[in-house]
Amino acid sequence: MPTQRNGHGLRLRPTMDDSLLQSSLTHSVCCGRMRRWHALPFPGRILVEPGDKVSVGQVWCRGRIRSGVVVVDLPRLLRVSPNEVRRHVAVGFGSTVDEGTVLAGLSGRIRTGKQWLAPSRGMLVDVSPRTGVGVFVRDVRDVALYCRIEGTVTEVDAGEGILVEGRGVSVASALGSGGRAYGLLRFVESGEIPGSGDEAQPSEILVSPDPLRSDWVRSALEVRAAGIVAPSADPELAASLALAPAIAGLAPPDDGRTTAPIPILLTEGLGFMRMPRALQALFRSSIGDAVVIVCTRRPGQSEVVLSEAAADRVRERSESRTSVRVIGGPHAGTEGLVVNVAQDIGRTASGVRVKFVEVRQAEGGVVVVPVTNIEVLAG
Amino acid sequence: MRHDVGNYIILNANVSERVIAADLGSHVRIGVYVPGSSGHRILVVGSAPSTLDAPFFDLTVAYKKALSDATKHAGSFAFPDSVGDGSSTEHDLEISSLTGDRFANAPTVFLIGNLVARDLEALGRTVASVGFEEVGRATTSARAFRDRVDGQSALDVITSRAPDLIVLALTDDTKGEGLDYITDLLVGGLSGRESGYTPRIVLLYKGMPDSAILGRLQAALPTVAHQIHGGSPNEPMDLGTPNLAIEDAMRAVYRSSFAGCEIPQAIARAPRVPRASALGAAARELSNNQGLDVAVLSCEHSGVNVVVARGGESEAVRVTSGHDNGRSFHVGLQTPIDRVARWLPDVPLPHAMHAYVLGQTAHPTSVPTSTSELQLAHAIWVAAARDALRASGGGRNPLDDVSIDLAVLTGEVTYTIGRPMQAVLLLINSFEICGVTQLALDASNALAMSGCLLDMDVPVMTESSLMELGVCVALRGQAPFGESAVVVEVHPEGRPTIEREVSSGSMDVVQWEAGLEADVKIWPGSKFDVGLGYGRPAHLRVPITPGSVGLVIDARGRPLSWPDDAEDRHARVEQWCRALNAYAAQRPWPEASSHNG
Repeated sequence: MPTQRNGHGLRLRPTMDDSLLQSSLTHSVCCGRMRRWHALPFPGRILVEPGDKVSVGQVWCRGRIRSGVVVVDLPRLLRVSPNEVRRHVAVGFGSTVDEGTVLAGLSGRIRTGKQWLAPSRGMLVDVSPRTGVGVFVRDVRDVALYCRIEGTVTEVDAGEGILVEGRGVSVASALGSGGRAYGLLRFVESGEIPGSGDEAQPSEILVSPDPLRSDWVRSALEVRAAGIVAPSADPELAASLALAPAIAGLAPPDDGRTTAPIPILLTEGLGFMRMPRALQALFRSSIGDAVVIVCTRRPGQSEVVLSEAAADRVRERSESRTSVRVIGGPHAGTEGLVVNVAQDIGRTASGVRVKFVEVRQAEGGVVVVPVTNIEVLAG
Repeated sequence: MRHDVGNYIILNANVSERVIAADLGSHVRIGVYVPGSSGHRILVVGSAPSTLDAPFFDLTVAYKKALSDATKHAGSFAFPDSVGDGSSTEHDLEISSLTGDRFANAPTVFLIGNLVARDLEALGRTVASVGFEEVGRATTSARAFRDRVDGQSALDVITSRAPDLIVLALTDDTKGEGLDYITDLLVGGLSGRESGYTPRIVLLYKGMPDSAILGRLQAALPTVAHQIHGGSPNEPMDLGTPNLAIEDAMRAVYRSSFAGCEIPQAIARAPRVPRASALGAAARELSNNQGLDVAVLSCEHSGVNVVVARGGESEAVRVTSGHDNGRSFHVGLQTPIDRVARWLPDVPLPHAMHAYVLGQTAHPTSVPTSTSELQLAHAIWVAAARDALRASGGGRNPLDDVSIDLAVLTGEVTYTIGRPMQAVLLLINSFEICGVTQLALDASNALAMSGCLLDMDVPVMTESSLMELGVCVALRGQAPFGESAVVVEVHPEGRPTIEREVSSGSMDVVQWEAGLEADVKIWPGSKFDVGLGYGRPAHLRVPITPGSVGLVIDARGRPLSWPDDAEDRHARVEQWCRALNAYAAQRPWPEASSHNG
């Protein structure tokens, strides 16, 4: 392959599918065959079997989860034998009581240590007649788990979860607010707000190419969107939407939430970055399709899952040059095509030794960036 | 550092003699070792960004790339089947051992039961030998289990420590009361919680457990039950069944650590060694081979490990930012900004540090491109390492009152070392070393892989991946800033003597011709001690070579102190960095076409 030198002395060579480059790159989009493990985090009834065809949003399991669980060894607390405990229970099972209500205690000993008081608003769900162990919960709710991809159930592990294999497109995201959602994708063009026009339907996944704004989020809540996908948000807004955990030594903002109002994903991260054109095109091509967003806060787990049809469209559109975005340094957020790859290892301004590539920016001009600091946007 | 002079590589390596280790972190790394004179030595490390997370959830992609990278560099020497482009058909290799950030710590276990003390200790040894780390126990040697064990407190510990496995061992529970009680506690307290925490349960029971109780436990939590024999005061418990049950549980925990991800067979079947254990094994080997007290600092995105080895024993401390079974947040999330700021010549803007930490969490393979970003990255690691040492073993710093002979830097930090002096500063500032210490950089970040092989009894020349940085002379004591602290005389063989006087609060470096041995004499001031007492001079018994940085003189005193005024403090840090020429000068952001990215 012919080589050339650029103005910085780096030996460059044109690249389309340079293996050296490909082995060093990280990808944020994966297209084609997908396997997704659907974990069962609580005891539940699995409704599918191996070989079953499932679609996005199909319920595969029903179960029950409890929050604010407190377990008390009542015989020890009340100093009575286990078979006497039930006689001292002061409230009905399953009845909601306020914080501080006496759940169980010995008569005549009000407000002494031999009482069990409700630690929050909630309900006493059980006191074992044999062991006297009591269970109080703040809330119990029935939940259903739905499939994240269309495909075939290949494994069912009772008590653990199911594995579904299919085809689709996954777009990895930088930050998630927690939760999952599915719905039809609606692309809200730059400058528009979700409530404008007559198009707004409830339970949609709204995609914005612009950095997230608080008024935009409010509008999305008003139209009862199921979830939001945006490129970035400023640190204050991100913290207030539970998208960005606070660093040690810094107090979270006053309105910092522990849970987001709806599931939200940021594809780029903190800051004021617009969504790369390649991702915009991908989402625009999926308008009206059923999509799933997984907004877990665990690093590396958040994604948008698009349909099999989207995968086919991506395949048809695949370009000869590698479409990338810059993920670090002064050009973070820049989008472009890799036009050259340096044959030699160079040094950044900080002195770190890395391989470099030349990226032709979508908005014009060329930047030279470390190969470690770009991410491939094609499938 | 004593190097093995006979460290040549045997040519015509036989594939059967080749040993391969793997390291799973932000990159998938394949280390190829070949036989050397006294054990296997690292030949090449192949690497590719991990694909274990979104959007792939498939490690095979990165594994093949890393293997291809290793094959390309090692060629037919280690991969006889490699083809013209360096790729190999050997995707189903035998990986001798596996370590990595994903297995930073060993899986954890909580013990509950009423075994006699002898059997309880034996069970404790069994779970440890299988590889579990015990995080607590609620046990009694008395028969009356419920009366003696506070199950509610045990449940509190379990929910806070979230062990991977709970072992219930009941040998005298004929009425089933003990099992009933603990079942009610575990089912009521753990099953179906919003957190999704679901431990595995191994029930070791003497006799037949009540089927209704067992059914209730199994319906709520993944439980396997085994009958045990013996266990009375006169008859020791037969540990055969418990051992097999706990080994099965370990395999199940390992399987679940990759739940939902596609894993290459070679990785799935490879024995795993927690990163801390692997580093401990490597540090012990270095200590034994070199006859030195060794400290290893391993800085990863998700945490910092410090291992100190002396006399065949090692002690490890760690600070981490979260999950063991998955990618974690960057360690900066847990490192207070004021402690990070101490090590920076500029005050870090909270937003800048926040953005950096979350950016590194989302894109752990990206590297700092500007000097300020690099200094922030290193400052976070130094602050985290000092936190780890401060918080270790009941507040006792394993480096207190100990002079370290050899300090080694390893981990993902090695990808960000722009100049060797940066590694030197990281080691000195993290350990706050005193006396005379040799410094080394594990440039290929292979020490943990070497350690995990050692843990599997594969002989490895751990020093084969180390690069000699130089020697540090650090003084204990305090004196007013600017007062003369030490005079150091370096006499390289056949060259003029170099004499350097360093004042209190400062650092300096003496460099001489590479590879040339030099005699070193040190005259500390009366307020300083270089290891032999305050004001007492020292003459190094063996000549030293300059390594890649030379002889670093640290006259900042111990314990390290900073001026109270923030501006003075930053100026002092700036002065330390400039004196050692550790970082490139700050530059304004470059123009679009410049070579920075």
